[in-house]
Amino acid sequence: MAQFNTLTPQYGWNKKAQRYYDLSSGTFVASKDIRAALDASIVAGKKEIDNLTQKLLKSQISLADWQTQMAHTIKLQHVAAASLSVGGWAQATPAVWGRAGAELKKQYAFLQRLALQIESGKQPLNGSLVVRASMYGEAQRSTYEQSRRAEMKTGGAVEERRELHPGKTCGDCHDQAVLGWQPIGTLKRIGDSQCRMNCNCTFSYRDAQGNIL
Amino acid sequence: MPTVKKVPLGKAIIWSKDDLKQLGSVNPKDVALAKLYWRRLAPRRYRNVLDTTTNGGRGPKTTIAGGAGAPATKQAAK
Repeated sequence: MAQFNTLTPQYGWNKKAQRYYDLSSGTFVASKDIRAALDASIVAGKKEIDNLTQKLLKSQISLADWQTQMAHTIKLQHVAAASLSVGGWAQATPAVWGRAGAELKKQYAFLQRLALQIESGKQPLNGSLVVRASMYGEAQRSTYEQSRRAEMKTGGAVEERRELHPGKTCGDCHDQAVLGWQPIGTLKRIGDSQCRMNCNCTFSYRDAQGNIL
Repeated sequence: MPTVKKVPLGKAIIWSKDDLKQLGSVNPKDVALAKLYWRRLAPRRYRNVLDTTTNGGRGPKTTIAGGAGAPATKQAAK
């Protein structure tokens, strides 16, 4: 029987505003809180990936098993990230899954390359593999931002701006941020900068009237 | 201490284009598993965030002010 926990907030989705709101208070949830949910998911996802990679390092699973389980874990993470970007499971359309699938295919191509490097010995079975593998957990951020970008465009956003956040920024991110407002879809994707999947940038959007969305 | 059998590294899986296409497709089973995954791993505060309601639920009483970078996390309902 499902348990209802009053300490766990219940959320709604306002399609027009493209924002979450708290059902109990009726107030919008800040974007940074949703990002915090994504960050928490990334941390948890990286832990799963780390556990898998440790099993490979300890020869508890084969390379093929690692690759298969990694692919499975990555998919669940990206599906959840895509869902988060559009307001939850109920709002996720086939188009959302299609976009997530496109991101997944890229990740799988990278994963296969990494697996081949492990097989050949080019990628040693040591801590550097743990670090590389953990980047697949970070990749959820790119899926989230790309999916959100598409939704915002559909929802009437015409411009985007790169937002830097403390901690992880690189020269590319900085260069993108100083461009300010640009037509939506023209700035570099999150994950395409020097910092790659470690990128912690976000996009802000505004409509044709200049209202920040 | 029992001897733990070590698994040979073996070979990487080579995915064909068709494999990648299939792996990259998201079907209802994947979504169901992703829901379980989220509920298992998300912190309690965010556990229900993906289970939003859009019909029948109350809409927000607030107006949007600021969006990204807005000063307040939640604006007071009026």
